[in-house]
Formats: sequence, structure tokens, C-alpha cells
Amino acid sequence: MSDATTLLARIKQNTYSQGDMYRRLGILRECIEHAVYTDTGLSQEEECRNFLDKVESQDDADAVWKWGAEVFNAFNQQNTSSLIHELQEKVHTMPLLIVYIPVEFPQEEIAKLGDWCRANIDENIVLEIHIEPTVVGGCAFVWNDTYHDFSFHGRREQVLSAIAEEMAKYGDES
Amino acid sequence: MFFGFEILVGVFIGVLFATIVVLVMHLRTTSQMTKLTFPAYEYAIKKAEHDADGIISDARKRAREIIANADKVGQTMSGNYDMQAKGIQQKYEAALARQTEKVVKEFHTGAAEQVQKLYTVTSTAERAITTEQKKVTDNVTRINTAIEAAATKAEHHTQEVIEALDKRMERVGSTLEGKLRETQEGGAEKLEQHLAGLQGVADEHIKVYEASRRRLLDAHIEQLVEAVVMKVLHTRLPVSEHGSLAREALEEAKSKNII
Repeated sequence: MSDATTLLARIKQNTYSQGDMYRRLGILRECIEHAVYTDTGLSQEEECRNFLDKVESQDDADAVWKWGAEVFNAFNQQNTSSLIHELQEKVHTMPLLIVYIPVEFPQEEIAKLGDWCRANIDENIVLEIHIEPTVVGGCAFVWNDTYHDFSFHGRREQVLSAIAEEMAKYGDES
Repeated sequence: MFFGFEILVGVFIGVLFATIVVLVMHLRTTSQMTKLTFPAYEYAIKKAEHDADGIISDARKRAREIIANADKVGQTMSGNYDMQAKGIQQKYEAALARQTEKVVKEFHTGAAEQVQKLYTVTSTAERAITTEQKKVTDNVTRINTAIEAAATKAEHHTQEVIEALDKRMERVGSTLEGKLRETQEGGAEKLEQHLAGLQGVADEHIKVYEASRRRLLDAHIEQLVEAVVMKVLHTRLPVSEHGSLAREALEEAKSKNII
């Protein structure tokens, strides 16, 4: 399993945002370099485990650990640098959807959003998440360099015109 | 060599002795000269003082004589001057009396002539004034008569003008009354039309105002509703609902072929 595409498919399973992707690939590089260049008699997977236990961001460390032994064992002293570089290049070329959400989503909501996007838009899509409180009642996004607002604020004209119609009726009756 | 030194000492002593002898002789000579010359000097001074006292005494005597002579001469000259002055004064007073008497006589003569002339002029002027006064009185009488006639005539004319004005005022009043009556009847009709027009404009204004107020109120209500909805959505909605709404928004965009 040394193909970058295969590795990326595994990585994408629990990583949806571009920021998470770059950050976790950085952790993977440090982890692999530690494992490859450390000769303690332990297996590469065990060395990776030891390294990830010491990482400050344990959420990211857990996500990297979940990529599995197949990913860790795909690297050796000869291909580590080139393979990591290849993975970063592929991430760089993945289609990007910039999404504005009203509150900070937990990882499971991000996963739902990402899975929906990969199922309905593009299987290789990555998200760039921004918190914007005014987009409550939906979300806003940038796709193909165009901003679209599908929040309550963006659709208020429709909602409020309906309210205004009702108000007008009330005024006519009175 | 030894004898040479002795000779030198001897010569030195000799020279020293000679110097002392010369010094002593010089002092004695100076003292004697002083003693000899002092009496002569004192005598000369005393003689000079005696001569000077004599000269001063003579000079004083001479001065007293000169002052006494000058005093006598002054008294004599002063007496002469007094006599001369008295004579001059007497002559001056006599001449002045004569001149005064002459001037008084001339003045009296000239004054009488002037008074006579003045009397003549005054009499002439009085006659002329009397004549003029009579003329003025006659003129005033004539003018008064003419004024009275003119006043009578003017009064009569004024009376005629007033009567004519009264008649004309009566005619104008009648005309005005008729015009006013016509205007009042037509004006009431026009006023009613104008008021009706104003009422229509006011009704239009009220409608426009009502519509604008309603729009303003609607806008406020819309803003209020939007603010309330956003507040409620933010505070009451769980994160899972936010996620669900976000996915629905993306589905809507997908259905519109935006993504």
C-alpha cells in the first residue's frame, strides 16, 4: 500500500477540512520520521503509537492513529519524504468548498457535512470551515469563487415578504 | 711683594684720611656762610614791609579826599536839577489848561450844530413815516375786503362740492352693494368647490401617509422579526439542528444546481 492515492483515500475517511488535512499530514510526517529513524527494536506501528501518545493535540493524534497500520507501514527511510510530498500535492489539488456555519460544529457534524458533500458534490472535496454567526438557520458557502447565502439572513426577503403580506392583510381587515 | 702690599695699605689709609679732612672742612664752611647771610636777609624783609605800610596809608588818605569831593559836587547838581524840574512842570500845567479850555469851546460849538442837523433829519423822517403809514392802512383795508369776498365765494363753492360728493357716494354705494351681492352668491359656490377640492387632496395625503406609515411599520416589524428569529435560532437551536439546517441549505443549493 504505497500508492499515494490509496493512502489519501484512507486519510479522507476521517478528515474533511483542509486545515485538518495539512495539520494531520504534518503530524504523520513527524511520526513516520520518528519511527523510521529510531531503532529501539519495536515495530514501526508501535513506534508511531509511542510518538502519537506524546502529541499535544490528541484529537488529531487519534485521527492519525485511526488511519491504521497499513498507512504507517507504507513508509520507509527511502520513500517518506517523497510520499508525504506527494500526499500534500494531492491535497492541494482537491476541490475546495468554503463553508460558513453559525456555530462551531463538533467532529461528527463536520463528518456528516463532509460525507454529504463527497456523496453529492465531489468524492475528493475538502472543506474550509469558517464560523459566521449571521448565517444562522442554514449556511453560506463559496463555490467556484462565488458566495451563496442559504441562511435565514440570506433568505429573509422571502420570509419577511410573507410576513409583510400577512401584516397587510391584518391592516386591510382593520 | 710683601713691601708692595704695605705701600698699598698706606696709600689707602692716606686717601681715607684726606677725604675725612675735606668733608669736615666743607661742613664748617657751609655753616659759617649760613650764619653770615641770615641777618641781611631779615633786614631786607623788614624794610620792605615798612615801605609797603607807608604806601597803603597814603593811598587811604587820598581815597577819603576823593570821596568827600564827589559828595559835595553831587549835592550841588541835585539841587540844580530840582529847580529845573519845578519850572518845567509849571509851564506844562499852564499849556495843558489852555488846550483843554479851547477843546471844550470847540466841542460845544460842534455839538449844537449836530443837534440842529439831527432835528431836521428826524422831522423829515417823521413826516415820511406818517405818509407811508396812511398808505399801508388803506392797503390793509382793501385786502381785508377782498379776502372776505373770496372766503364767502369759497364757502359757497365748497358747499356745492360737498353736495356733489354726497350724491356720487350714494351712487357708488348702490353700485358696490349690487356687485357685492353678486360676488357673495358666486363666491359661496366657488368656495364650496374649492373646499371640496381641498378635502380630496387631504384625503389623498392621508392615504399616502397611511401607506408610508404602514410600510415603515412593516419595515420595523420585519427588522424586529428578523432580530428575534436570529436570536432564537442562535440561543435555542442545538448544534445538531444547526448541522441539519446547514446540510438542508446545501441540498437546496444542489437542487438549484448551484453546486
